[in-house]
Amino acid sequence: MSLKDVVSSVQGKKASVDTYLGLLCPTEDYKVFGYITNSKIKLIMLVDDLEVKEAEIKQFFRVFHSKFADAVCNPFYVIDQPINSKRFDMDITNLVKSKALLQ
Amino acid sequence: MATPPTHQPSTSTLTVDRPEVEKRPSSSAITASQLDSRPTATASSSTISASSYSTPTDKRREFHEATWEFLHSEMLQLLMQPLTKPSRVTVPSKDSKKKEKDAQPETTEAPAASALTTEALLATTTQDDNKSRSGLSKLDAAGYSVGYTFMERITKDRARFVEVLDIIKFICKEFWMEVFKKNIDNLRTNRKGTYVLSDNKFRWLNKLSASSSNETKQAATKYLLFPCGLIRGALANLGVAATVSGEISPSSPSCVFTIKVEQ
Repeated sequence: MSLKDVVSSVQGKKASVDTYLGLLCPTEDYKVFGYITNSKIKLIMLVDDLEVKEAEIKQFFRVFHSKFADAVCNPFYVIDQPINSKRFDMDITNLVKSKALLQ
Repeated sequence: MATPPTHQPSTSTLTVDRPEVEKRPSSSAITASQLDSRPTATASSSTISASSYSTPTDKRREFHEATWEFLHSEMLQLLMQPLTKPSRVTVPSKDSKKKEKDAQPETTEAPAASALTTEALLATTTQDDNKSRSGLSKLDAAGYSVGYTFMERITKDRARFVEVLDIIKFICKEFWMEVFKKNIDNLRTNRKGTYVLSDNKFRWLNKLSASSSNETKQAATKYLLFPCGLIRGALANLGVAATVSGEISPSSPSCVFTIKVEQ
């Protein structure tokens, strides 16, 4: 599985205008979900719970995107560099933990 | 307790820690007025915003109000500095550049070329004026980063764009509305990658006047550097490489932005 899968689901005749890309690549143990932003940033999520609901995934991506937007809006952040924000790391860790506890 | 950001005129401070500000919108309004050293400017801008903006009190709107006021007062402060210095006689070699600059619109191109384009504008400033020299080039860079990050935020819940024209329309409506509280009045295109955006009553030029129309034009072009960077950054976020140039129309306070998309 590579980013080519993501890109091909974005371009082409069957390309959807939605930001949420859905299930990207089926594997035995994991499920891989994709989400692309308007600024071509791709968010990938790996889940090992095979019975996860799509609505939850979409909600997760929405929150993830808003945290990402907060991290990018930092005036000290240099565009297109890796994000080194501790706050961002903490937010995403907490987000993942809160979702994990639900199952 | 949300601490106010350190006061740096050349960088954009549009973004504070968003969750904290959203919870306490009143404190951000207070910090905006504290940081502004000219209380009269803030008071006038707040009355303008109060009269022209009659939406119900919303947390998000309060946040926007505060940041909008702060950004505009920051811009006024930053741009007032070179204007208050008396204009000196330029040496003959610079006079020709000065005439050239009046005829040409000032442009903001890709970062590599931006040094060249601001040179035309800087030719009108005096030789010793290093502060305004670096300030002008910083304006363009600041506009770029603000446009880039602001676009990230406001396209968050929106479906993806299909065409470049959709992106330009989005800039004319939603983007311009968020930054200047009005839409772009006229959009023209030649369908080959050139778009002309006209704003008939550009907010930042509304109260600007000088002793002669030429001087007004010269002073006003400095105000266009930031919006040009803004548009360029916004387009760059969506993957559109473009050149943006700004011109003052003869009937101030209207101005025209020309976007040339690289195919």
